[in-house]
Order: sequence, then C-alpha cells, then structure tokens
Amino acid sequence: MANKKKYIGPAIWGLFHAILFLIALTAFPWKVDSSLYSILPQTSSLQDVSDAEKKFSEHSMSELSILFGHKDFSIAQNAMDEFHEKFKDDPSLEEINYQVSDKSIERLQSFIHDNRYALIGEDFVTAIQDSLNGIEFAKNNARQHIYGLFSTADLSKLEEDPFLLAPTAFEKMTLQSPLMKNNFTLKNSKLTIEDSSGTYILWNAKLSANVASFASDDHILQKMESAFASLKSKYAGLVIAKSGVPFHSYESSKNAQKEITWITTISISLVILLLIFIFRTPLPIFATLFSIAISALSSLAATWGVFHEIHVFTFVFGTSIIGISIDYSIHFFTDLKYSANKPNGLSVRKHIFKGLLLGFLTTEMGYIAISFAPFELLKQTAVFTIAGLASAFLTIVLLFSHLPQVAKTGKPKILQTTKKIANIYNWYYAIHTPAKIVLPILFLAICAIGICKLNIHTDLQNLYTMSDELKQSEILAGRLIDFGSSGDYFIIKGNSAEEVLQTEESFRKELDKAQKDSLFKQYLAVSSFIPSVKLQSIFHSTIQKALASEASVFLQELGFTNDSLFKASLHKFKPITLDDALPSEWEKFKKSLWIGKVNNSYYSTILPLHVKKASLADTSLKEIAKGFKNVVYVSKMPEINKALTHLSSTALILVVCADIAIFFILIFVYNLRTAFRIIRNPILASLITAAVFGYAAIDFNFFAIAGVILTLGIGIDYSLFFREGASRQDTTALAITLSAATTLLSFATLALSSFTPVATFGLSIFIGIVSNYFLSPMAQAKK
Amino acid sequence: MIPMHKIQVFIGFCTALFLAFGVSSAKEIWNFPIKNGNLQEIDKAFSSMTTHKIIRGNFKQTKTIQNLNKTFVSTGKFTIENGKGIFWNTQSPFASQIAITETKMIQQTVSGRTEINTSENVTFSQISQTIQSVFAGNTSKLKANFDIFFKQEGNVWTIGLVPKEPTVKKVIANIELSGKTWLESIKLIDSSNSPLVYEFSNASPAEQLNEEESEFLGK
Repeated sequence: MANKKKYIGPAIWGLFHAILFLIALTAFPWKVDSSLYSILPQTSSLQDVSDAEKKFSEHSMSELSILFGHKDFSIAQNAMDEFHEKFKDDPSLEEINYQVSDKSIERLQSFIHDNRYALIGEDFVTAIQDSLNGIEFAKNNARQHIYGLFSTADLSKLEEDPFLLAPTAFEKMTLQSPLMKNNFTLKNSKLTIEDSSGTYILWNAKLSANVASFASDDHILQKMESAFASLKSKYAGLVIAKSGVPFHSYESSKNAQKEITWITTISISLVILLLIFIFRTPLPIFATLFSIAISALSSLAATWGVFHEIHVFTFVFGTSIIGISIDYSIHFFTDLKYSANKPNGLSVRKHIFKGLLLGFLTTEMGYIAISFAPFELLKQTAVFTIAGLASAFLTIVLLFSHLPQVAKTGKPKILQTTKKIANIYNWYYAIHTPAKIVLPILFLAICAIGICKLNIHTDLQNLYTMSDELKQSEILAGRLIDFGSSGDYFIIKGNSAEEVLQTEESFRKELDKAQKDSLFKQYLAVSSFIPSVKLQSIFHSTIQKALASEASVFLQELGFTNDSLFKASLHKFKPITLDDALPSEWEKFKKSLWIGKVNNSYYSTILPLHVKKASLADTSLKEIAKGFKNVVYVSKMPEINKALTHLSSTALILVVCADIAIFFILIFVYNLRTAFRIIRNPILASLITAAVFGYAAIDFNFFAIAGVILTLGIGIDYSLFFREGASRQDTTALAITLSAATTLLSFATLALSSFTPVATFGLSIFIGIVSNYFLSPMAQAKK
Repeated sequence: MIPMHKIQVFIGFCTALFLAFGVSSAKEIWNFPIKNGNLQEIDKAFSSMTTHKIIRGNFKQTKTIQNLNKTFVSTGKFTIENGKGIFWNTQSPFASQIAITETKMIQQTVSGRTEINTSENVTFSQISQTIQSVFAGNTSKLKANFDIFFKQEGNVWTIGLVPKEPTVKKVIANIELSGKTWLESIKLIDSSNSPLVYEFSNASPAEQLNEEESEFLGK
C-alpha cells in the first residue's frame, strides 16, 4: 500500500505533462510569429472594425518595395533585371510588379468603353442635367475631343458613342486621377524616379502567406539581402533602398533570435556556475536543469495549445521563466543539503511546502490576472509562465520529493553572510519611537518625490529602434516615392458591398470639401473607380433622359445617318460590381483598399494622402468621420500608444485585484498583521521601482509597468519564504539569496536587450527584485 | 502599413498612357537614323524656330478615322513661346483653346475652362515638355523620348520620331515632322494606322504675346 502511494505523485506529474503535450499536439503544426504588427494591441473599441482594420493592416504589412538607383540608368536597370530574374519565380513572393505591360492601356480603354455609362462620373452627369445648356455641354465635350489638339480620344467608335463618353470617362479615370500626382515616370516599361543622386527603378511584391516569419538562412528576405550585397559589389555605385514592414519584422526577428540565444546561454551558464559553487554535487544541478527544461517545454506546449502559435517576443519575455522556476528548485535543494535533520526529499517537502505553495499561488494569481489583459502578447506571456511555473512546482513537490538525501558537505561560508541579511533590520527594531516613525516616513517621502517625477507615457516610436542601414533605406525610399500616407485612414462599414460604396460616396463629398480646405492634397477610394450600383444607374438614366433624343441630330452633324448603335448600347447597360472581372491594374488597386467581408459586415478603406501635420494634430479628419455612423477614422500610432497606456492601467488594476485576493488569503492563512507584513514588501518594492524610473527620467511605459506587475508576483515569494523559514533562518536566507541571484541573472540580461521594450521590462524587474530581496527580511516575525 | 505597390503599378500604367499622349510617314525617312546621337542637323533644322522668342501662324488639323472612313478637319491659329509654352486656338468648326506650359495645361471651350497643374505631376510635366519639344525643337528632350531619324533633301528637312517606350508605341506608332525655314507639317500615326496631320502656314516671328495669349500662357 505504501509502495503504491509512493507512485501517485510521479503519476500525477506524468499525467499533467502528458496532457499538456497532447494539447500541444492538437495545435500542430506549431507556428512562431515574428510580425511586429501582431504584438500591437487592438486599437479600436469596436471589435468588428478592429478585425477589419487588422485584415487591412496585415495585407499591407506583407508588401515590400525595392528601389535600385544609379547615375547611369542602364547600370541600375541591369542590376534590377538580374535581381528580378533571380526572384520572379520564387514561391515566397506574390504579385511581383516590375514591368508595366504594353497591353494594359488597350485593356483599360476597352473596359471603360464597355462600361462608359457606369463610369462617366458625377461632374459630367450634373452638367448635362442642366435643361438649358446640358445637351450643348455634351456636344461641346465631344467636339473638343474630335477637333481639339492632342486628344487621346479613340474616335473609331464614334457612331456607337457620339458624345464620346468613353474617352471622357477614360480621362477622368486616368489622366485626372489623383494617382497621377506622383514622382513616377515610365522608362523601358519600368517605373522610374529621377533624383539628384541618379535614376531609380521600382520593384515591388507581396510576401506569400506561407512565408515563415522566423528568420532563417533560407528565408526569402535573407536571400534578398545576399543578392543586394552581391549586386552592390558587382555594380559599383549602385544604391539600394528597401521599404516595407517585412524588412522590419525580419530584422527584429533576427535580433530577437540572437538575443534569446545569448540571454538563455548567459543565464543558464551563470546559474550553473552558481549552483556548482553552492551545492558542489551533481544531483541538485542536474535536477535543477531538468526542472528548467521540463518547465520550458510545458510553457511552449501550453502556449501552442491555447494560441496555436507563439510570438517570438513571448520567448523573450518568457526567458525569465528560467529565473523564476529555478527558485523552487533552489529552495528545495538548499534545504535538502544544508538543513539539519532532513533525511530525504519528503521531509524537505513537508517543511517548505506551505511557503512554496503560497509563493506559487500568489505568483500564479498575478499571471492569471495579467492573462485577462486585452493584449495578445501579455496573454501569451501569462499562459507561458503559468504553465512553466506549474510544471516547476509539480516537479518539486511530486518528483523531487522522492529524491534521497544528497551528500552532506560542510556548511558554506556564504550561509554566515546570508544570515546577516536575514537580520539586516535588527538595528531598526532596536531603535526607539521617534526615529522608528521618521525613517519610514522619510523613505516614503523620497519615493513620493521620485514618483511625482514619473512620466507615465508609452510612445511606440521611442520603443522601436531600427538599424541605421534600414533607417537610411526607408528615408531614401520615402523621399523618392513620396506616396504621402501618414499611416492614418478611414474605415467604411456596411451591411453589403453596395452599402459600403454608397457610404463612401456620401463621405467623399465631405472629403472633397476638406480637400478644398487644404487639409490634405488628395485621397484614394474604391468608389472613385467603381461607383455604387445606385449611382451607376442614376448616371445611365440621366444620360438616357438627356441625350437619347439628341443623338440622332448630333450624329448627322458628324456625318452619320442613324443612331441605332447608340440606342442599342443604352439598352445593353449593366452596372459593374466589385465581383466583376476588372482590368488587372484596377483589380490590384481594389485589393489594396477593399477589405471585404469580415464578421458578416463589409469594409473598405479611404486613404487621405499628404495630410497637413496640423490636420493630424487638431484631429480635423477625425471630426469629418464623426458625422458618419459607419465611418471610423484610424490614426494608428496615437491609438496604439493610447491603447498601451490604457492597457497598462487595466493590467495594474487586475494585479491590484489579485493582490487584494492574495491579501485575504494570507489573512485566512495567517492573520491581518502578518498578511500586511508579507504583502507590504512587494508593494514597497514596486514604489521604489517607480521612483527610480522617475529620478532617472526614464519613461514609465507599458513595459515598465508590466515589469512592476511581475515584481509584485515574484517579490511576495521572498517574503513568504522568510516568514515560513523562520526555524531555518540561515538556509532560508541562502535559498532566497540564490533565488534572487538567479532571477536577477535572467532579468539583468533582459535589461541588456537591444529591443527597448524588453530592456525596459528587464530594468523594471531588476530594480523590483533587488528591492524585494532587501525588503523581504521584514516579513519575518519580530524578535 | 500602406498598400502602395498596387497603387504604384496603376500609376505606371497611367504614366504610359500619358507618354503616348505626347506626340507618322514617308517610309524612306525610317532609313535615316541619326548616327551616334549627333543632333547638330536637327538643331540646324529647328534653328529658325529656336532663335525667335515667339512664333505665330495658322494650322490645319486633319484627323482620319480609317474604320469609319471619316475625316475631321479643324483650323485655327497657334503661338509658340520658345521654351515656355504653346497656345492652340482652334477656330473652326468648333472654337476651343488649349495652352500647355511648364507648369499647367489649360483647356477652354464654350462650356467652360479646365486647368491642370502639372508641377505636382511628373508625368504631366514630362508630357508638356515633350509636346513643347516637338513644336519648339528641343532636341535633347526629343532624344530622351524618341529614336530620331533625319533626312535633308534640298532645303526640305524631315525628322522621324519613334517612341522609345514600348507602351507608348502601342498608342503612337511614329511621328514625322517636315519643314523648310519653319516647321510645316507634323504627321502622327496611331496604332490603328490612322493618321493625324497638322499643317502649318504663315508662320512668323513676334516679340510680344497678345492679351489672349498672355492670359493662357500665364503672363
């Protein structure tokens, strides 16, 4: 019977991990996401609009542009031809655009001719509605095309289209299009831009959906980088500018991978050295490493099981699991090796179980609270850590408890030092009342001054630092292409594609006014090219009413005898819809702006270009959208910053709630006074962290706050261990010192990360852990 | 964040169209390509036009539509202000004016006036320069956009222009200019082989723009 009981613990441990790995199997193939976009919080309060916005952003985020420039155009062209040849059939790329087809004009002319009544435009229709001059306007428009200079009008279909509606629509759709306001010109069927530094050729494409976001040597962007290097060495003086989110995501992913590797290597190496120094026997070291490995695998399994993918930055944030989970192991083995009268693992478990359980539960509660924050990255980090810690906890209490006693050695000298730390506040307990009250007040006052200096602000632009090479490249591409997008846009919603187009048409009237008021230079909208069916029908009926009866007379003036072809074409009218086959250039344009169906509604975007900075600042554009129920103005960067700030406060509130719950549990377990003594330390440590950020004038951003939240969870463990280990003060102090040291090793290395949010997060925790460590002896019962 | 590349392709497409808009053919001219980029003969042919500040004259435009077997003829007056712009005043059978300068394109009929600012639009600007280069004899601009052919018979010169850009060639097959002292005719052949012919007469130099020309050419 006793033998059977012995296996229950390991069986539960095995079952727990088996379930986790089975859950992970259901999520196979396991994906790793490195897109910068996916770590951003949801910015719209309306879930459906946010989904549409995400779809739009994800689409545009896979696009990349490359410019090759040289003083000698032929060199730039040769280099680009070589580059194009290498990548034109690469399955990682879609929709490659390099050469402009010489048949595109004919195709568009033919499409516009066939749909001239639908595409003629409001200006023309409004003009012909004038009962006095309308018909003359239409005739003069045709005469101008026939007899005027440099008309692009194709007159071969004059009998069918006597008022030359097709050429008029063609000019409106092409020559007078806002798209023509750009720096591009065509040279050898390629889009080129002239600049003082040379002539640049544009090449662009979209990354296929199946392209791995994780950096690797055979990644398409890595291959491109190699091609750039080889072309630059082959063609002296070749300038290459690259632009697009994939380049940034790739660079970040590459850096993150490098950092994960060295952070983990340094952390583990230092931890192993520390363990060797303290334990000097192999069992605790191998057992601890086993615990770390199993908890890391559990973290991965749970995250893949829940989210079906893991973001590369979850790895970075989650690297700290090594530091936290090792605490339990150290606590166990310090006791096993150095406490007197502890014959085996079971008795160690008995002694440390209460402190370990409370520490585990309080940390888990903090992370469970964080998992409710409406932010994917935090949710992933929470699940990653919750599962890892649970695994580490179970490994200690269900597996390690079956370990035999390790070989005893003499007590290390460090125990003397750590014991001193345990008694660090004895002097304080010995002093008398006035000083005893003044000192804490002084301490709180110093913290308060620092906290008053805090700048609670999250600015993404300050958080992302691109490499100099990529920055210069983006600056050059931005100057050359000068597309004029501020990153802000409007999202139009409707119950059907038709409703979206009709809303766009109403909204564009307001935009036209704003354009006249110079809030921006131009805008791009799908309805500018494909009007709603309702509007197309109005165009057709107006033309029929105003021009049909006059066609015969006008055709005679032009030398034709009857109007039957014209009348037949009026009868054949059929409105265009977005589902119809459009000319390829229009199809591509539509894909860029039309979001389509998302959650039973339809969406599109309107892109204002060259928006005046003042208009962005004074929210004039946002005001225009306010008058329309189904139009939302999206100003990405400020909204993300606002969302992150909001998220910070939400996460803090969640953790405060968790701490209140912990406080009540501690009252239940101990009493009010002890509960207060335990929870006071992590709270004071958080105040110290905030004060240091204030004094150092570092932005107390979302990631710093996330660090504070984590500090609250970890810090309480130290207080609990001290409280519970009163009878073994020297080994408890050593265990806490080792725990703090290993956690610091993890977080201190995070503080060295080149990715600012990770570094800020690491710094915040570093300060918090140091503070917690030195405050935790106060949790002991007073002597 | 921005969906640019499809838009850029569309821009390129429009650009091609515009370049085609810019600017035919005794077969023999195509046997005389300009050798080694030597444009001196062209400069010489255009010299009487380029040495005067302003040139005025009459024009006759004949548009032939092959498939309809129709010909549309219009006549009027033209003004070329060297290096600055051209003004086309069609008088018959339908009155309309068009002016093309470095910065704008103005078109006026009895129904109203439209004005396009070309300074913000590289393609418009290029077209305007190309059109001016054809009428005013700016050889370096012509060389940039066309393969050039030249023939001189007595005092009659003929210049042949074939667009370099394949997309433009789809719209304009070729252009043929001929003259003696002044440019006397331009013949443009489109892709359907329909000719558009400009015949110029009574060309004479002037020192100042008149009031109407100034209004259009931005004085």
